[in-house]
Amino acid sequence: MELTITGAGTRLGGRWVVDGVDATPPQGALTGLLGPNGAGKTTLLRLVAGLLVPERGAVLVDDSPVHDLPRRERARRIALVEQESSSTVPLTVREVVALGRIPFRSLWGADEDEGAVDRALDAAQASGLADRAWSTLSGGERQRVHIARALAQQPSLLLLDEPTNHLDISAQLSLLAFVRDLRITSVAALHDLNLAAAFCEHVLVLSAGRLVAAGHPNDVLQPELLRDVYGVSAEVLAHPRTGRPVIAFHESAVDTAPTAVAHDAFSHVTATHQSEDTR
Amino acid sequence: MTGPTRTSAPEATRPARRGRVPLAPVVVVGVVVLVVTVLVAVAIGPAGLGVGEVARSIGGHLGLDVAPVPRLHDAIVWDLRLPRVLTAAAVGAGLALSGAVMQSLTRNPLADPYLLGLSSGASLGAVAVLVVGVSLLLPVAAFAGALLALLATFSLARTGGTLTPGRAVLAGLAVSQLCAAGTSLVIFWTATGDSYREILTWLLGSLAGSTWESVAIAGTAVLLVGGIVLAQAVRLDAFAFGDTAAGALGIDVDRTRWTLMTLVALLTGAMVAVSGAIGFVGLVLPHAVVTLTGPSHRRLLPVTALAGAVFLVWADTLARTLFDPRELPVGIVTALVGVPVFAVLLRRRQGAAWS
Repeated sequence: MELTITGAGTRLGGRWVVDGVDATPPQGALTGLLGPNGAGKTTLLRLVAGLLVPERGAVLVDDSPVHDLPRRERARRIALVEQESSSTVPLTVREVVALGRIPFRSLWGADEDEGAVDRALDAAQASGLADRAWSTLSGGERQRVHIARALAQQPSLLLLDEPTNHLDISAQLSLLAFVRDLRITSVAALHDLNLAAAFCEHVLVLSAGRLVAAGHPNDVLQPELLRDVYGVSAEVLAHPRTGRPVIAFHESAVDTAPTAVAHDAFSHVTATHQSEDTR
Repeated sequence: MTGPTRTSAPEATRPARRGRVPLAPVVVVGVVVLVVTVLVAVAIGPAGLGVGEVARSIGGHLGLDVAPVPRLHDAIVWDLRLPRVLTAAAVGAGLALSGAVMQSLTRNPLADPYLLGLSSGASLGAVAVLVVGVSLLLPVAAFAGALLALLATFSLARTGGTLTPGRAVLAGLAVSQLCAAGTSLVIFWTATGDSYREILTWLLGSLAGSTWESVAIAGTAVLLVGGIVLAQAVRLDAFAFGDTAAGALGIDVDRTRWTLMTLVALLTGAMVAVSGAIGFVGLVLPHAVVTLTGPSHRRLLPVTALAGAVFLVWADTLARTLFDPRELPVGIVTALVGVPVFAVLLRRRQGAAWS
């Protein structure tokens, strides 16, 4: 699916949380959505999913605005895996995955493709979990089942909001490799820059709601950008095997606005001590 | 923690939950149990009626060619007990259905009509009619009260944030208290002598005054609302992981929620109008049934309604026979039975989905 974001912006509580973003994530590949907390990643994903209507600009899928698509039609094309989504309903894994078939079911519940749930479980390598109770799954298993649920929607656009949160390193690696190898147009909000560097074909970097960089991780993830967007200093090395960027952070933050305030406060304290001494 | 690609040994020891019980046989069994329950419940009580006699009496009124029943017995069956038992069945089904829908829409396993202020609002509306003599039909007043309470609960829950399960319950608690205070005020100000006892009985929930009119009100509400809600069953399933997830599955979240909430208010209003506020049926029954049917609403809702009907008929039968000739408000019986059942469910689902 061709996804085009043109000048999309929306306000939450009066603030422009996403502000004039233009982007065209590559088709059939994994795009990383990067940026510090509060940069607008989740809101942009909700705009792309058609759950929010942009106040400015548009999100186009195959040239039609996403929020103009009929809801069912949209749910058959776009799947969203939320950050930390939980349920109090005593569902089995198979039932969770079957939720992804809702856009395909008739009023009385008949599904036009009965094998879809099994295939989605299979594709997400979660068949072994099918009859487990959702509440007994580990974090990594839950995330995998959510992806199976999303795959049951047979989406041509897959959106993931921090899918690697709270997963151990092996689960993080296998999950992102899995999503990358699906060859579906995917956009994943990610916090871990090294994971984004290793798995994404393309990255979009948001800062305060604006898109500040876009492109291949090799080109985008540079020390200057990390300093400007995250306020950290880092060396960017090349991975010995893949040549992808590997980011080594320095211990102290760079001298940007927040740290300057801290310095001032400290010198103020020192000055007070001195004045006491001279008394 | 295991990687997501592997399923390892300890997991295999967990009980498999493969294959929920098929729906059709459960519904058939449920309907049969309900019919038998109605016949037996009508027979129980002073006058020593037999089930066969009850069946013949009902058959006679339905125009079937059956041996006639003595006139007194026929009157007991057709004019006194059957309306009451059928009202109990309809109210039980309605309350259980309301509870199941509320729990899914608010994503709160503790939600029921009682908790979100609906029945308190309906009670206030009804008491206003009973005591003050506001010139409205009782069911209309109860419905208006339920709807106003619902609006108050959800606007309160939404102030300064999104609607979360916890906020819905807290807001419902506040609205319930307010309506209860309003009800007490109305009674304190106006009620005299015997009407106190009458109102108290009604507030605790009682089916003693049931007539064929009650059967018509409660039955119509259950069939009408139940039918519409059942048609929304798939949409209700989509709420399992919250509003955003439901939206991403193609559900119009706001419209679905408000439609269903209004329907539940209508249903609760009708139930309260005929029987007062009967607690615990809406809270407990859906949890008990979900262990049998699983959480798919297409399966859960019809079975919950049947179970609620059977449950309330028996609860009411206990209420009128336990201390015969003295009669208990049925709300006391549902609480006495409901609380232990709830405790058992709570234990069984320890550490599972409710954690």
